[in-house]
Amino acid sequence: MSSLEPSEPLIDFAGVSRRFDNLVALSDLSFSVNRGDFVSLVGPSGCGKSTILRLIAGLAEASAGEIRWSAREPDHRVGFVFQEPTLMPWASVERNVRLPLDLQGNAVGSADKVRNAISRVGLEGFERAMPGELSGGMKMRASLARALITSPSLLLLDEPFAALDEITRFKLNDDLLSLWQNGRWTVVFVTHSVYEAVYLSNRVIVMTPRPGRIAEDISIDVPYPRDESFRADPAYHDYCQQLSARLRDVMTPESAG
Amino acid sequence: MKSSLLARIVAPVLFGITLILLWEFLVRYFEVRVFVLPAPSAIWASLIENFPSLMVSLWFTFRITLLALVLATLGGVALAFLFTTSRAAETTLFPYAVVLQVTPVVSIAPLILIWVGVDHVERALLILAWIVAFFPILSNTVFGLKSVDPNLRDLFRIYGASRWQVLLRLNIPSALPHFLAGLKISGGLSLVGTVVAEFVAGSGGSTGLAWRIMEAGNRLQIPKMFAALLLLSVLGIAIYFSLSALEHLLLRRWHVSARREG
Repeated sequence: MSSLEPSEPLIDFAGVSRRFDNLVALSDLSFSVNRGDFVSLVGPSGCGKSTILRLIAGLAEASAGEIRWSAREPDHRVGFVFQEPTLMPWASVERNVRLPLDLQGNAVGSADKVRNAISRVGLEGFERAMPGELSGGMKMRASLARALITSPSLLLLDEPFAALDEITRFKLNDDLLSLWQNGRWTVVFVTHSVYEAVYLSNRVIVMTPRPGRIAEDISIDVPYPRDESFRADPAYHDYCQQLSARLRDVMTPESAG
Repeated sequence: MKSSLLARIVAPVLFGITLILLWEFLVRYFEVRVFVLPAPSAIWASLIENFPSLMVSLWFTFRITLLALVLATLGGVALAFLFTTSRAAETTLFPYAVVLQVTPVVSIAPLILIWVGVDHVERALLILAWIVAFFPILSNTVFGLKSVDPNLRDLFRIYGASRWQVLLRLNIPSALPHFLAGLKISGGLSLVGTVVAEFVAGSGGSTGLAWRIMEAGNRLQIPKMFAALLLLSVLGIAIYFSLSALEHLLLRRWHVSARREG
C-alpha cells in the first residue's frame, strides 16, 4: 500500500489544547492520523509529544478542543510502549505479555495469543525468563509483544528505543517496520531522532517548543518495504536534511515566537 | 557461589570457636572469679543444669515475641493500606504513629503495666513489644505501596484495570520488597520490645528469659545469667535468619537485592 492512497482518518485532533496549571503544553493542535499510517512526531524536549500520546491513550484530558475517533473504532483499542520497558519485574515474560488479556478478563484463546505475540517479536524460548535476566533490547521486545497482544488498531510508541545502543535500535526499527507491514495497524511514534523518523515513517510531524504546535508536516514518499539500503538512498538524506533544518529553525528563539 | 557460601558460614564459625577457646584459656590462666566472668565451660554446665527452667523461659519470651511480631505485621500492614487509600487518615494518624515510635518504650512501660498488667502481665508485654515493632512495617509498607512505577500504573489504566486488580497485581507486588525489609527490622525489634518490657515488669508473673537474667543477676548466679543471655542471642539470630530466608524465598527470582552475580 502506498501512502498516497487516500484513506479515512482513524483519529482526528480538532483544536486540541492541553494546559497544566499555568503551563500550556499543547496549543490549538489540529491534525489527523489516517488508518494504516506510520506517523512520527519529532520535536525538542517539552514540546508536548508525549502529551499527545497520553491524550490519545485516554491518560489525560484535553483542556480545549476535541479528539475524535473514527466511528468504526468504538472501543479505541490502543497499545502503548513507553520509553522504559515498563515490565513487572516480579513476573515472567509470558505473564507480562499476557497482562492486558488478564486485566480485561479475556481468557479465550489467550495461550495461543501469548505464544503468537512472543514469537512475533522473536522472544521464543524466553517465556519463563524474568525481566531482570533480559538485555535492554529483549525487554523492549517483550514490551512490544504486550502492546500487540490485544491487536490494537493504534500503536503508540513514546521514544521506545532511545535508551538502546545503535545496532539494537536499527534491528528493532526493522522488526517494528515488518510487524507494521504485516499487521496493518496504525502507528504514532514519538522520537527525538530525525533519522529514525524518516527511516520508519510515511509522515513526519515537526513540533515547536512549548507551547507545542505543528511546525511542519511532511510525507516521506518512499515506498515500503524499506531496509538498510534506504539509509544510503539520496532521498533519505534529503528528507533528513530538510527536517533537521526545520527542527533547527523552530528551536532558535526568534522564529519560535 | 558454593565456595562463597562456605566462606560465609565457615569464617564466622571459626572466628567464634577461636574466641571461645581464647576466653576459656584466659579465664583459667588468670583465675578470674566466676561472678566476674565465668568460663564458657561453666556457662555450658549451667545451661545443662538449668535446662528445663530455661526452656520454659525461652518458650515464654519466644511466644510473646512471635505474637507481637504477628500483631505488628497485621496492624502495620492494615494501617499502611488505610494510609495509602485515604490521605485524610494518613495526615490525621501518622503523627501519632510517630509519637508511639519515638517515645522510649521503657518510659511508658510502667503505665501500660498499671493499666492492663496487674493481672495480665503477658498482655502488657505484648502491647509494649507491639509498640516497638509495628513502626518499621508501617513506614516501609507505606513507602512500598507508594513507590509503584507510574508508567505501569498508566498501563493498568489503559487496559481498564479495576481497583482490585491494581491492588493485587501492582501495589502489593511493588510493596513486597519494602514490606519484607520492614519485617526483618521488626523481627529484631519485637524481641527487644519483649525483653525491655520483661525487665520493666520485674517479677509480676513474667517468667521469660529477661526475668531469668535479672533473677540470676540478683543471686550472683553469673553462669546462669550468661546461659540465659546465650539463649536470647540464639533466639534473635533464629528470628533474623528465618525472616531473611523468607525474604530470599519470595524475592530470589526477581528482586535486585536477592540476586547474586553467578
